[in-house]
Amino acid sequence: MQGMGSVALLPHECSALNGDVPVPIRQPHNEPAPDDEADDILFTAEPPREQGVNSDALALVSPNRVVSGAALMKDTEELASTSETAEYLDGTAARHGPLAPTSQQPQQPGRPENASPAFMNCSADEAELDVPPANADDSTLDQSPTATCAALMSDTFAVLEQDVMRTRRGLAAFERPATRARLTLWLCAFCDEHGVPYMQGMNEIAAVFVYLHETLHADATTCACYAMYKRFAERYVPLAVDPAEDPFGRLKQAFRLFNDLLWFHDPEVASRLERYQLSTDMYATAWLVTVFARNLAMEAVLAGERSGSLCEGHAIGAGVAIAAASTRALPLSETAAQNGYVRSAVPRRQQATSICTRS
Amino acid sequence: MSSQAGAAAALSKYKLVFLGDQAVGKTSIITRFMYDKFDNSYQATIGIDFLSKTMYLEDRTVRLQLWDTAGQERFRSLIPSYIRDSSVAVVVYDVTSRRSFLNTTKWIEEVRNERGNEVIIVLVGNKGDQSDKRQVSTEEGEAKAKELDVLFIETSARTGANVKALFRKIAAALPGVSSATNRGNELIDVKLTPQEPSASQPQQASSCLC
Repeated sequence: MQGMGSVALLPHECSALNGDVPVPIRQPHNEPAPDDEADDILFTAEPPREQGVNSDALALVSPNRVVSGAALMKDTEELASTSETAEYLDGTAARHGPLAPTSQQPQQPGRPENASPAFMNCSADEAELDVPPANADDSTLDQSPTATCAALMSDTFAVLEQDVMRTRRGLAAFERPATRARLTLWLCAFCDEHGVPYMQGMNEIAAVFVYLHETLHADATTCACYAMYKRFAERYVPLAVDPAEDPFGRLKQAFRLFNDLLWFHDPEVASRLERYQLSTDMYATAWLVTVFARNLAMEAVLAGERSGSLCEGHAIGAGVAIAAASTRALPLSETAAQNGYVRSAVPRRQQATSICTRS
Repeated sequence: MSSQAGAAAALSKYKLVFLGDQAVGKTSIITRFMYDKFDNSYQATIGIDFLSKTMYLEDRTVRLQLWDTAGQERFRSLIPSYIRDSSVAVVVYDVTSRRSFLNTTKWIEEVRNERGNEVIIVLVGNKGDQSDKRQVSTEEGEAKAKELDVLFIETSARTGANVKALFRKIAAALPGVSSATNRGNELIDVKLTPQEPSASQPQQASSCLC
């Protein structure tokens, strides 16, 4: 496998990074969840909506509080079995279209699909390329990113550039032009590869992976880190990129689902929000669009990632993950086709090469 | 909720929606007004953000709900619902970006489409402190405001110049404000372009930090 040097990129295996549906959602009730310790806090024994205010519920409006989201996940299965949510959830299975590189790779026998961290595999595209083995030095990203990007999206490029300039400005890493150039290039590459325009918020997700690469995993290949980002973004970005008729159709679906989850877990908070006419879109847009990357300090995002809470342990995070994952999402490429978005002239292979090989 | 009109200090609530292209300084203006601070590290607003602040005017107190919106065009389809029940639309452009200035026409149209004439619109040229990069003159801004029949002011969220004046201007224009308070219209609007001969202007600008 390419990029074996990156095995230690993440200390645990985060299923979300696989570009796959989180395991807890997929698994039937009787199968043990892979993360047993998270089962402690389940409160699914009581019938939904009749239970009193549970103590975890406040976490739904307090992103700083970390609690297990396993309960949310599990409850979502029940929602799924009884409501249209099921449709959303089923829809996720169909997402493994041309965009999901994992689907093109053979399943490893005897292991669930999240067993092999996505970033180990790089992606199918990158595997085609002659990617050099793990190497700390990948100065390719200092190549002018605009060379790649100019063709991509003249209009949105200005937005992208401005956003990159104001992404995570408090962090020393993002004060460095090289880091910002890398962020720009990754965003451009991602958008170009998937044929979608840049959307505000994408920068926040990419920044987390760029930061990982710049700091904690400086010895990993750019290819591996980009692949991690790509897997993650392929999964969540579709929320904010939708067919032209309603660019936020999927996001609105996610709002509805999130609201359902809130009512399910904390009717009191939900009813109070409703009384004050605070609809989900007013407080959760950035949560959903950036999967919390925007609202939390980088350390918190990474801490969540380390402890698995980004994927499974964080109530809101889990709510967001569920809402995001279970909207009936089209593969990005399909979306792009519906948008009539014109692919840039830069060939895909060349795009990936510019990121994954050293000059 | 309960509108106790009897008492002199009835608290009226008004919703202000901030519109304009990305990175023109909508969030910065709001933060300057709310907390009297500025820094360079504001992240792009995703979707919508809201804050509220009570303003004490001479004869009454008003509560302003400030709705900060995302600037990117792609988010625009989410915005009409926020404009719908707003009393004031603050349309911001960046005086160092002609493009953002040109786009204010679209934003103002959008507001008119939603709210007709039942809304106060203020055109705000921000980043007035960056005179070396200026692409839109104060006169152009004024002319456009006149043409579109909206209020106008130039601000600098960085220095704080005219930010308070902006909100006083808005407060004075709010419906139900007595003529006494309407004096707000005569507040000195600090000219941010120092090329004008009057030497006292830069001082005024800094004194407006208050």
